[in-house]
Amino acid sequence: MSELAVPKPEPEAKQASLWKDAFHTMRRRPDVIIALVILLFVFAMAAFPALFTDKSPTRCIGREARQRPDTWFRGEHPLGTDAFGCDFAATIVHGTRPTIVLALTVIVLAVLIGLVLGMLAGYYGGWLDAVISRMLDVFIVVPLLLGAILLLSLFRGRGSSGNVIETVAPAAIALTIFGWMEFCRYVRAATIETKNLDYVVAARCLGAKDRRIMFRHILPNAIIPVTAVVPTTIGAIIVTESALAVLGIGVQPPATSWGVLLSNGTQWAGGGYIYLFGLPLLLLVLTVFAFATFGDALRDALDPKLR
Amino acid sequence: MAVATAAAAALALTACAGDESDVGGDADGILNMQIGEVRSVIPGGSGESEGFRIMKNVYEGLVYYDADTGEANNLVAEDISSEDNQTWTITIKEGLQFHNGEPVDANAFIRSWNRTAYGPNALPLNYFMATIAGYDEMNPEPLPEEEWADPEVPEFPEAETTELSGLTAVDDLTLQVELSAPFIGFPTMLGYEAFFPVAEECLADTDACEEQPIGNGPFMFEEPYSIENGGTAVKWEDYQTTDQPSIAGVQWHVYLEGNDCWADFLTGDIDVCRPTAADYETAVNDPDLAERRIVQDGTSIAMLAYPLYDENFQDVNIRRAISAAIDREGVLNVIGPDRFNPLDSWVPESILGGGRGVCGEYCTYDPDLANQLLEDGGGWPEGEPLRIWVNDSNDNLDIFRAIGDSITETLGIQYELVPMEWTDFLANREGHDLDGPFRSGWGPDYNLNENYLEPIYGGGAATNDQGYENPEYDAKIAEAAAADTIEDAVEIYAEAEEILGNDMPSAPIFVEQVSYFYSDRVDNVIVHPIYAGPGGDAELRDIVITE
Amino acid sequence: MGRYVIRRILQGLLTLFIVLFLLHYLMALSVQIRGNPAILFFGGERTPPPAMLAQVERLYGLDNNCYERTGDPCLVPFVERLQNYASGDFGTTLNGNRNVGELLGIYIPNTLRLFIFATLTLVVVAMVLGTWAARHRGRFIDHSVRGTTILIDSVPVFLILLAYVYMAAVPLTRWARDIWGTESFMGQVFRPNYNPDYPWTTILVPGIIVGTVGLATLTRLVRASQLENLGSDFVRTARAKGLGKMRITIVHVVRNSMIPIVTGVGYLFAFMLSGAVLTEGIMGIPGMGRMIFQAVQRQETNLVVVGLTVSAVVVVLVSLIVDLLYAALDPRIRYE
Repeated sequence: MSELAVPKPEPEAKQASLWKDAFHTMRRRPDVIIALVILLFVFAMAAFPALFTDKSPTRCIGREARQRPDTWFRGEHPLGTDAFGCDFAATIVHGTRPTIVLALTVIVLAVLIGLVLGMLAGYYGGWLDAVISRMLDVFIVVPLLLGAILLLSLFRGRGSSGNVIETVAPAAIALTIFGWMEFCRYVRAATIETKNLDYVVAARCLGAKDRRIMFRHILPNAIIPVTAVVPTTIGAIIVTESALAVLGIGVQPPATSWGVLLSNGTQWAGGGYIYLFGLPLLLLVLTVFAFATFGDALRDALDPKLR
Repeated sequence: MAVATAAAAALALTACAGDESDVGGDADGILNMQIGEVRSVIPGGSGESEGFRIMKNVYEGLVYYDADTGEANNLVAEDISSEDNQTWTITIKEGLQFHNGEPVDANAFIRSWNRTAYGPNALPLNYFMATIAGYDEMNPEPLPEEEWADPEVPEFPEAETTELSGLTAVDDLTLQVELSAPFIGFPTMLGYEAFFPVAEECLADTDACEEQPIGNGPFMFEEPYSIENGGTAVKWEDYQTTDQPSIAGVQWHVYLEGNDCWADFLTGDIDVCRPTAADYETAVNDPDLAERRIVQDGTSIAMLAYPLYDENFQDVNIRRAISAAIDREGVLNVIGPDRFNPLDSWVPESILGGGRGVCGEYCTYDPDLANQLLEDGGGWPEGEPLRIWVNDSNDNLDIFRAIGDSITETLGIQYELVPMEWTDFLANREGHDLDGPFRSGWGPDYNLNENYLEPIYGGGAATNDQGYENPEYDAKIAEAAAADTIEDAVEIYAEAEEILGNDMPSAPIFVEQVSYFYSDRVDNVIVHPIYAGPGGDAELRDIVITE
Repeated sequence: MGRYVIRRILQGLLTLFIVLFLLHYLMALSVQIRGNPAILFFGGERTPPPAMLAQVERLYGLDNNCYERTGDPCLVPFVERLQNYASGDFGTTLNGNRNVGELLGIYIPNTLRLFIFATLTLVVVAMVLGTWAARHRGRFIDHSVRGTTILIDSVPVFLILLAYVYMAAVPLTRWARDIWGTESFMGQVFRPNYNPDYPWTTILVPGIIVGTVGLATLTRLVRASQLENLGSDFVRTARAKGLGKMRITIVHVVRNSMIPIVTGVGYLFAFMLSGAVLTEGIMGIPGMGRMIFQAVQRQETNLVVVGLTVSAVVVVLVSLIVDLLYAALDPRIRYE
């Protein structure tokens, strides 16, 4: 999940070495290496599904539904067929892309919104800060999942074609709207702190423009606490996506995502088709775990005080 | 260790709460039944299966349906007769009472039907009263727009009357009903919830009556029924219409939307239950469970209806091609075998006059025939997807996805599934805004094939969902309603169904198969052939607890 | 302090007002875009006659013309809504015509029970694990506690619950009933569904499972703050005085580590609310999360606004209490 401790921004002189130190620390940790290998594998599936399967995930024959994967990794259906008679390996591989695209879209948008609003609020203060802080309060009051449920149900899209952007867009928008606040809070706090540091005040006295101060001096500091929580948040988004799918309002079938696979799989797990639930679950947990481990290590590396 | 601490703390809490003393319904011949969310327990207010399941035991109507054939037999009624199918004379058995001692007489029925028919009460079963003369006066059209005080708020004239002019109490036990048009099927309707009687005390305080209904049936509530927590109805000792039920009472356990009773059935907490799709296979293969299974034809049907107002669906061969391209067995394999049976007629076999197979070869999976028909019909526009519109509740999405897969596999037409929320779906379906085949489901109101024909395909192109109109068909329906006997009427309605077979305004897909399991402590489990709850049901008047 | 409290309360009220308005606006937009939910009233597969539909619309205040103009904030109905709420009238539902106030009376206690178990589990487990890890800092135990909690947090809570309900609950219940009997605590506690006859017992297991939400975060907080305290001057003094190891851990370290835990629990509260939606759905618990989800699905305008407002009130209250507790627990913090 998310983190509460805001690492203290370091003065700019230490910036370069902070990132370098972090890199060095991380490189030596075996858990980070394992996490990276898992993530690489998942990203490869998202980017080049053809490397992993040659079957089409949309060719489904009802009479062949739920054939157990007796011939593991070999034969006509390496992982058996799913509840609709599609090749299960193909569905899993092709379901990776929407999941990853969704998670990355949300995180990029949320960080951008958080950075912009947080810096504006922290730097200018006054009424702008008051308005943005109120906005923060209002959005924080509605929990991420509830907010997403509200938006997705009220303005439900009509169907989904093959296009990955169209498939994930509604969920991505909903999750972004209720997911930027944490970043905004961190950035705002970091900005306020940095703003009053001697060298920033000095830069301002020397006539530096607001925009230059924000980008040159404040952004590098504000980005540290944000970076530390990004991997963990990506994990959380993947989990939320699967929750939305189980509730039936996330990515809409016949398009697949891990969440859709899980929500289909849970129905059949109790009836003895555990692989339909277990395999996507394993993949999801591994990925989220990898993101969390990586994030955990990153936070340690960026915030030496807690080590 | 940490978990153990938490559990211990929780134990302490439960001990304090002291609300665990209420022992479930296992003892003393109380049956444990599952039930869904009930909308109302006053006749006319529910209109869904779960409310009816309670009401048919707590109340009883003029007729009840035979457990084997589903035909309407007199229950509270002594006799129901008519000369012209328009004026019906109903005599009521003598000496019957409500739970509170009020007499069950002609006025008890008139009172109930008037309440349901009165527009401003806005009851879900209001439309059932439309067959009775005087309905229009009680449900006025809105005033013309220029007469509204506030131009934004529609206004209604006062309903002219609060009583149906078609109902007269000839004497205490004789009720005369005048219909607005002849209808041979009227007596078969009378066993439904909308036509149950209501006590005066109930209408005096409907809020209290919603919690603790005052009925005239073999079971009564001694404590209020709660929609979330269920309740227990016990045998009414003074019941005398027919034989007393064998069980001492029934406790209804509530399963809200999205939950089901199967897990609780396996632990022995529920006596009759339908397994979920995934559990069928295990349940059927369990030799112990298989002995305690009830299988019979159901009455709910699913169809893929065509938008006849869309240019792509003008040719009947296209409509036949899509139907013949659907591998109904394959679809069943996807959603769990045994839950449905393939359907090849518009009226299912379990309904009076149904099961005649009028759809025939076009409702049987045949890829060659399907492709041939598609060619005859001029083919499908290149590159255009077939959009299938469904409402997204229950497993509709799974069913129609499997149907779509089958069509794509057979005809090579790519499909797109458009899931919609129920109200949206209804509005678009009624507004003729769909550009592809759509889900059409139907469950019976009464046991007559007419109920599957007139409400779905009648009324003309502007009225019904498909935009279907065939003067021959409408003439047949009208002819049947005025037939001399019910047997004649059934035959003429069946001829109307054959016209549907030629025009194919929709493709029949499945009829539900009732498949319930019951626990080893009950016996003589009879499931009603016409109305059965979706999650598991049994006739409480007949069931026996053996333990 | 007093001025701070008043300012915080006023801020909270303003937030709630904005939330209420936004919710109202969203629901109005939804009615404008998706069409009228009054049709719900008729349920089933039926087409209601237009006259009946208009009756129902009037009954539920949906007949205002603003609902036909997309984008119109529907201020008149909003003011009416506020007036009704102020007078304690939360309206009725479209489906079944139920009093929303009464519904809240049924749903809120169930969710509270769930939260009690969840919070207890979360705090106890995190305290124990965090303390343990801090005591063995940098060693194998420290790493494995961290790894395990992250792993537990990585498995979505509703999937643990689904796996439990589908696979473990039935055999466990049968096994327990063979030994202890049906009516015993053990015979009920593993049941796969909530049962209103046993409102505490059957919520225990889902409560414990929901309590794993945010376990890694809280454990990490506990560990970090204990490490800080372990290295602090007052602990060194206590050691120098020759106090027992147990006493130092409990009195000096654990007590002073309560501060971040209070914050953490307050913060995780919102996550638990999300968890409640799925948990209550899976276990069939008639609670707030389930109610809100169903209401959104069914376009029960009134129920959605009331439900989410209640949840907003709780979140605002919790964060207020956390801030005040913070001041009470840590003598170094003073609010101006």
